[in-house]
Amino acid sequence: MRFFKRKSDVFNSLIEGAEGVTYTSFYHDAFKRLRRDKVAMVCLAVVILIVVAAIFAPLITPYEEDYMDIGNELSGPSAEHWLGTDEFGRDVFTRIIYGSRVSLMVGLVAESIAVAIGLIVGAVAGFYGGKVDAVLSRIIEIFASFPHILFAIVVMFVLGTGIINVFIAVGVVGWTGLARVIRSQIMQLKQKEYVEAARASGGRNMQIIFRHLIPNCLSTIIVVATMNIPSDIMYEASLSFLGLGVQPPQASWGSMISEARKFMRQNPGYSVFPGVALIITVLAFNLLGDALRDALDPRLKNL
Amino acid sequence: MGEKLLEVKNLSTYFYTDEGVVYALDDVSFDLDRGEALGIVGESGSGKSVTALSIIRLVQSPPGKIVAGEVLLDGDNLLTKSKAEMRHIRGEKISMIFQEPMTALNPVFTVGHQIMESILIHQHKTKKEAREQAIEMLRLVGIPAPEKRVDDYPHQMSGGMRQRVMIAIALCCNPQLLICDEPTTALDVTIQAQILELIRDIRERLGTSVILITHDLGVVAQVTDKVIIMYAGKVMEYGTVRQIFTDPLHPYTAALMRSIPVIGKQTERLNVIRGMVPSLSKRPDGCLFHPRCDEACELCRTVRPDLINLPDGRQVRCHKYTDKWEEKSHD
Amino acid sequence: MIKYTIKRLLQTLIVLFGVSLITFIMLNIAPGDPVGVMLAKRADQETIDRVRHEMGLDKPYVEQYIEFIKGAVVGDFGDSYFQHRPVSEILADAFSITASLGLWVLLFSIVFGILFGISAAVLRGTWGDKLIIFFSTLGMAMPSFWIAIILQIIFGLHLKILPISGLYSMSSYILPTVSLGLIYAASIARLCRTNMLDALNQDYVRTARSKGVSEFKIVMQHGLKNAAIPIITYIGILIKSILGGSVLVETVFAIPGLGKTMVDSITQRDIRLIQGCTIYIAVVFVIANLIIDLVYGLLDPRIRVGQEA
Repeated sequence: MRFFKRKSDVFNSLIEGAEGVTYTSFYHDAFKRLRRDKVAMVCLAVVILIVVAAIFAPLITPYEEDYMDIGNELSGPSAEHWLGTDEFGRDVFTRIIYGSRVSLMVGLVAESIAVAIGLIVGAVAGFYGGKVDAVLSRIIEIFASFPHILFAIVVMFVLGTGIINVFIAVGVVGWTGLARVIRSQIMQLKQKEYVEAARASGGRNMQIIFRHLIPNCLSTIIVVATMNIPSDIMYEASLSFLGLGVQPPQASWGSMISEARKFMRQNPGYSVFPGVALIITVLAFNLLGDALRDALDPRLKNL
Repeated sequence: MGEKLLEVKNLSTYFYTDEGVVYALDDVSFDLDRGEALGIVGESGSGKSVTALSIIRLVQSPPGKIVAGEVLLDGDNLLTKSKAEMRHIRGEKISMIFQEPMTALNPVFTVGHQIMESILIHQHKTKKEAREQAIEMLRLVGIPAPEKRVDDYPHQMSGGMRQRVMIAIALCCNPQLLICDEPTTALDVTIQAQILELIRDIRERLGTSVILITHDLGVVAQVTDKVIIMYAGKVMEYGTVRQIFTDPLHPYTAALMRSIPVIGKQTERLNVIRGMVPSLSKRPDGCLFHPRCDEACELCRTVRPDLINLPDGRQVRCHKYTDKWEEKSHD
Repeated sequence: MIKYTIKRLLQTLIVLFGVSLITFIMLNIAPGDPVGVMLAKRADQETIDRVRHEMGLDKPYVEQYIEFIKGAVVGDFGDSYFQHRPVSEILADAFSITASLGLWVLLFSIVFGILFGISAAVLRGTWGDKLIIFFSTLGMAMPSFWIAIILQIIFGLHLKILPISGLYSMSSYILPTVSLGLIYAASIARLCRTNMLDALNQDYVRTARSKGVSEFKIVMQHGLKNAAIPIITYIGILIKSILGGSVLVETVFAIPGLGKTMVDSITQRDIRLIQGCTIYIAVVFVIANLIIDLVYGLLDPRIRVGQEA
């Protein structure tokens, strides 16, 4: 009798200890944490604003992308041209809005390319280990051992200018970081029981990688990709600034700054504003990436 | 014995956190004679470490703050000292060793450097003299080949050795008081015994007063004369080791005693104290221990008990030893 | 230590071999005919064939690559087609310029980064800390070429106190150094703050306090020496970034360093020079990283040399 009473005491103590603990799903929890982060929410709002502006550019902008206000070239900010005009009399504000399309596209497409390469190389290296890993790790090291922007320049040289090639160049240089993280995560994950179970039940390697391992790296992929987007945007701007990226008359913040540089005496604002747009975008993505990392995968802090 | 070294009077340390005020240390008083060893025992979260940190004024602030009380060292109130004055007291008059010998030593400096640092702050010595003293201290705490070991980095030493180094650092300026915060918790059992033996030996040889903080009553029994049992930031019971062990008064002390497994004695299962230490920001009404106490009655649930001085010098904080309890049980 | 050094040297060699191979493939094999690209529409087929033969481009790829490597090992990358000078000579000149600028940038960013990083850590939670975090976060989002242009407008055009192009006097270093260094100073400040706070929260700092060590010494010795380790590692990445960033800043300020040489060689389609530049920069970076790695081992006694993390 006494024995049973004691036993129930133990149970009670266990239950008391667990009091107030509610179980929620991982992503639900992370999202809740993210919602409480004011900075992250402001950044998210900014990002959404930029995306909306890019999509609905023709509706927002006061002028056509290449409308030239002849006789009003290189003017400063005014009621007609909020941020002034460029050397052809084109509205700088309009061109900045259109330029956001290029930046966001680079962020999206180039990063997708980088994620695809990084994911495959990292997963294969981590999963197979041994000689495969040794070779792939060396390859990662070789790609990482070169300043990204210089590598992108060489790629642009080989492929030629144009926005598609910018996607490729930026994507091809930016995958090593993700590959490294994925590699080490897969190495840890493949020791887990459910992988053993999948293997025991006859799962093929590729099946295991794509069904069991990669979904478990999802939060890492989201975090790393978001954190890479600002640097992708920066690479595009740099390439276009050097005249190797997006070509005129298409508007890109980098090429606008490059053009504006020739006229910094006549219209300094022309150089300033595209840069401000670039900074706001990069800043918003940077902070959003940080917040996502803190919410989803704080271990990545050391990257 | 008999000459008072340290008097702690009504010491209260609170932590002001987002979740509310945490009463980590609430109106704690005790004193310590020269050459005496005192054990402070309690579960984690009982405020025993905060007691130590409050004495040498190293409570993280913010969020922590010593809100009331006095800490008298030789009659001198430490809580009114300036920061610079405190620095001269720490390491020179009061030294402290910590729980984690693995992390308590700075990994990028040699152990010799870390001992010398203390010597050079508090004594007028040249580097060469300090180094010699450091070697001497390592020998004192029983590290073999101290001339060589003095240039080792912490990672080159075992946990027990590092704790010896910590003790060497603490003792190098011959302090009056040595506070040991869970000095053996992170160590293997055999090493534990050696370190405790070392602390006892030092106390006897150098006449240093010792405050030993631990969750382990067995450790206290080996080293100290007197024991304070703490619970939820309050002193629950105070007495000599013999008194506490042979005749625990407070139900909490009794429960702690029962939870020590006795070798050779067949028991169905280990005795555990049910429930958990209450959250120090949302303390229960009445006696802080009543939710876990088998003997709790209505009085315990509503009235917070005072610390009662008993004729034999003991103290206990429990309604059981008051007249009210008598009335209660006669009902 | 010796074993570790040898191992790292071998790894370095493998990486360099890989870089040379990739560069060679990209520039010589991947789409199109390099000479055709180089001379563009300026030449007829006969000229192209002649130049191809002169440059040895009509030989099999393997043979070409072996010759390229043979040359590269002794620092011979052939002659620049447009400058009619040995590529190695052009690169050596350009490198000394980039190196001097790079050292200033490195110095600037480390000094200011650590200064502000420590200040922020010591002032944690206060307005001073928040201000430093704000500006360093902003600084990291600014493109160097834009900062360069803004600085040119302010200090060159309006205040007229600093030269805005070339690299002739001490004062002409200021603007390029600041425009490139600002970003890195900002990132070092953030890195330093984080690691400093981390170090200051460690048990050994509590031990030091319990010994009576002054707050100043705790920060400058116990804190900084521990926080320095990740910063040193970061310097390896920094060197790579500075080499990359120099392309942009050198273009803005018309500084004839490695970066500008690279961009010019690309606009001129000077294959030999591009090839040389690429390898050269990779070598500089890889060697810098090797040195950092070895220094790192000396600095952090916990790192067991000879075994990789």
